[in-house]
Amino acid sequence: MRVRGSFLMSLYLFQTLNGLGLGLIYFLMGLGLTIIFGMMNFVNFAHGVFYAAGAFICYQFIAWTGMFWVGLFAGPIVVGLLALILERFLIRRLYASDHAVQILVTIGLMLILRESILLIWGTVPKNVSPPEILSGVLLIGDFAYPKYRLFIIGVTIVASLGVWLLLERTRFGMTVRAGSENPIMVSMLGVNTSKLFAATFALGVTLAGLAGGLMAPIRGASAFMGAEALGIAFVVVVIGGMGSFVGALAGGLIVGLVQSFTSGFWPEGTNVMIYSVMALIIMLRPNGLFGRS
Amino acid sequence: MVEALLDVRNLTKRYGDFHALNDVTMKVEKGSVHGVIGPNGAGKTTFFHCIAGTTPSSDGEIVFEGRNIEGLPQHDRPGLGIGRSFQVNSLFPDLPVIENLRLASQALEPIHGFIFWRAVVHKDIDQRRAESVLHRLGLDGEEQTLVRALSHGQQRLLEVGMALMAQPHLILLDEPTSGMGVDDVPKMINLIKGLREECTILLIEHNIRLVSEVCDTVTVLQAGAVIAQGTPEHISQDEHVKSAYLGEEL
Amino acid sequence: MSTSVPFRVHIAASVIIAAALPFLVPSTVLATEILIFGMAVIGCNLLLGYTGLLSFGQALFFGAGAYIASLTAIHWEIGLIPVLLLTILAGAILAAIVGYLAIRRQGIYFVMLTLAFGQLGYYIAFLAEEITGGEDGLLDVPRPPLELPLLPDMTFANDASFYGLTAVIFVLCFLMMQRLVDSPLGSVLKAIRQNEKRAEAIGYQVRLYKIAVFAFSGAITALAGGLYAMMLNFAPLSNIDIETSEQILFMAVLGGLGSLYGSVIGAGVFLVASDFFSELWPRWMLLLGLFLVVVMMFAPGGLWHGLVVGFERLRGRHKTSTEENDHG
Ligand SMILES: Nc1ncnc2c1ncn2[C@@H]1O[C@H](COP(=O)(O)OP(=O)(O)OP(=O)(O)O)[C@@H](O)[C@H]1O
Ligand SMILES: [Mg+2]
Repeated sequence: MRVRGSFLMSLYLFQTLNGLGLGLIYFLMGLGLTIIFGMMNFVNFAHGVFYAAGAFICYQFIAWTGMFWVGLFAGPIVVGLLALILERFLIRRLYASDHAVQILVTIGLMLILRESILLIWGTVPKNVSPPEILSGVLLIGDFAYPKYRLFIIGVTIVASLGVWLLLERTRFGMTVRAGSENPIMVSMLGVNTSKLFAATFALGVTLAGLAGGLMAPIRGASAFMGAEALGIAFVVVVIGGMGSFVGALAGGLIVGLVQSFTSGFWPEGTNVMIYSVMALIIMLRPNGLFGRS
Repeated sequence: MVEALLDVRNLTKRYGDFHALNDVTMKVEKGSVHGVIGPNGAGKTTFFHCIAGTTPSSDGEIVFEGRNIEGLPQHDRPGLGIGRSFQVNSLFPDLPVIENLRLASQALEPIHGFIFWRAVVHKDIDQRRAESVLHRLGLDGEEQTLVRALSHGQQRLLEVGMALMAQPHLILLDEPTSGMGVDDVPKMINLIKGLREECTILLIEHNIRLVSEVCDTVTVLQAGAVIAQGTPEHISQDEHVKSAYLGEEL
Repeated sequence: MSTSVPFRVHIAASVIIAAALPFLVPSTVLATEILIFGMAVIGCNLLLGYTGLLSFGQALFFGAGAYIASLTAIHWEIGLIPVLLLTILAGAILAAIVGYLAIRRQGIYFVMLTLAFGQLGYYIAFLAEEITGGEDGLLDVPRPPLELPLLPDMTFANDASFYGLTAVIFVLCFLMMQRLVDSPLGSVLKAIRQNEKRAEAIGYQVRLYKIAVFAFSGAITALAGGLYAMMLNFAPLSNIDIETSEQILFMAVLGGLGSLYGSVIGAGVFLVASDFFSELWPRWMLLLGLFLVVVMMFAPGGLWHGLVVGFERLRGRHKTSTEENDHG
């Protein structure tokens, strides 16, 4: 009996940690989407493909340098730079447009980027292996857990804290938050909105790139991984409520935990479960858990 | 004692901690023209929103023709005989003028809106009523003009026309002359004067000449509360009102 | 409002389209595909172009239609008409449910919800291998015979006869939908797109109308999906994936919203172009993406609007807003 009990305990712990890691990755995705939307009222359907691009650039830099760390840094940074360029020449023209127009243009952008990825890296997904010191498992007593997954949890917590500090403790962050709540006021305060918007867009996309880079050693890099991630990011913000840091966190964790616990008894059903939970939450709380009506 | 068509009791509307309407009580007599005035942000439009059901009220009762309509959904209220116009033109810009009006009439029989198997009939009751209101607005000849192509003044008239399509017992007019050119204002005044024969009018207006000319009773709102009520002459003498409007023309 | 165009003009136009199409495009199969997707795009246009509802879940109705038609045709020998009627009914019910849930949220959340329900449907289809064939799809989908009283049974084994069937269904659907957009309901839908608040304020319970238009959209999209499965003799999983939703949406925007002719043109141009380019270059979707960006940035009215404006310029009576094109 005791053995069985402790086995169950460690299974739960295992799944909770898995869910935490996934959930924090989803949180990064959702957070990126939500700050862009909150600040510029801009709907970015290319968000998922930036996630995929993050994974591929991470892969590429590892292939060039042989160093995982370079790849992990390069992924989000290169994707963020790409975002700055796109913002300058395309995205900023759309801030005043209808949501439908924004969605359709960013779908076009998504197609362009996805096909470019296929053009550059081919149709076969790429494998990325974690660095030496993060491979294998960590043993605590008789509980074993993959080191890389612990690393993900650590990095995402640090990244989230960083973003949180950025949003809560800096001037930039204060304007972003004010802007998410009242964009007109910010422009009236005489803030240089065009720079602010560019920085916000790049920040949101960088978070997607980081999420993609972190996921690469677990899921590999595939041009089509973006669609699934975009769907999940939407679930996160629908559950949590758009424009809310706490909402994105709660949404991300709920999705991550649902996914990891479902995989324990019904591995094929994880996605069905995620979307069903979302439908349920929408039925009970149409504005999401932390959304304003 | 004349019967009250609309009897508002202790109406309160809160946005968070902010009271847009605070304990507003007023009676609107049947057949009267009742003005609602007050400085910007006094809560006049909010008051209309509550009566028309556009926003739910937080507290209080709205008794219309003896029935408490508080909580009744907005789309059910035109059918009871409450028509309203908006302060900012709110029309269907890419539909012809006549279709705007016809739609407002059709809405009174919601089931008609689900007819999908035949074209809009051009001789039916809704169409005829739309034509007669169009004529009344002085928009003859503009039937097929898209609303977006109308002048602002014409759109203001159409705003009132949309409210009229509800065959209202009570019509709520939110600053009908706002933004109108001096040449158009008399048309609106005549239109409103013509309405008093057929329905009770609740009128928000900044144009004081219009208010004193057409209103029987005036209620003054300030910061969400009623600060004075009475005949236009009475109101123009009231000290509270003067101080509320200090800096604004009265 | 296109009440100024008499209905018999629409009858003539749709018959001409259906009759001429096989001679305009390289193959009968492609012509069939264009009419089928034309119907699906009309379903999307009803929501987006007429009512202002951007649905990312159209593939859900398309795919569900394909599965329902395939399963009923495989397992029950009930003839063509009952199969298609069941497909239409199922599509309408499914779409009404999805619509009912999705419109609980407004604006961008609504769009995300339609996408999410689409994904949910995809994963369910993926999982329900016993029913849908999962990743392999449903194979050997028959084309049931048409059994009409007093007439011999008709079968549609070859491409030409199946085109004939599709063409008849297309014309009927097109005319019904044209009727719908010119009807009192259609007028309410346009009103909702242009000013939802006022529509509610004058007495329309907007929610019900949105659910109704979802049902219509689901019905015609499912019908298209069912025909597509019969055309392919196969119901692949890809019918229900997000790419199909995107393609339907793309065709709708390409052709121009707010006109049913635009929908058919959008489907035609898209499918002919993809037929042509996909042979040349496997990454042709990149061009598609570029094209979408350019169209949306510079010609948001779509091809149909461009045609109408061009035509009116020719006739020297160019107006900025034509009645046919009340997109916003
Ligand atoms: N949705 C809302 N949320 C928060 N506050 C609101 C909202 N709508 C109105 N208010 C506030 O309620 C107050 C009353 O507004 P209202 O529009 O009723 O004023 P009004 O008397 O019609 O003014 P005006 O003469 O300018 O039309 C204002 O201070 C306004 O800012
Ligand atoms: Mg007002």
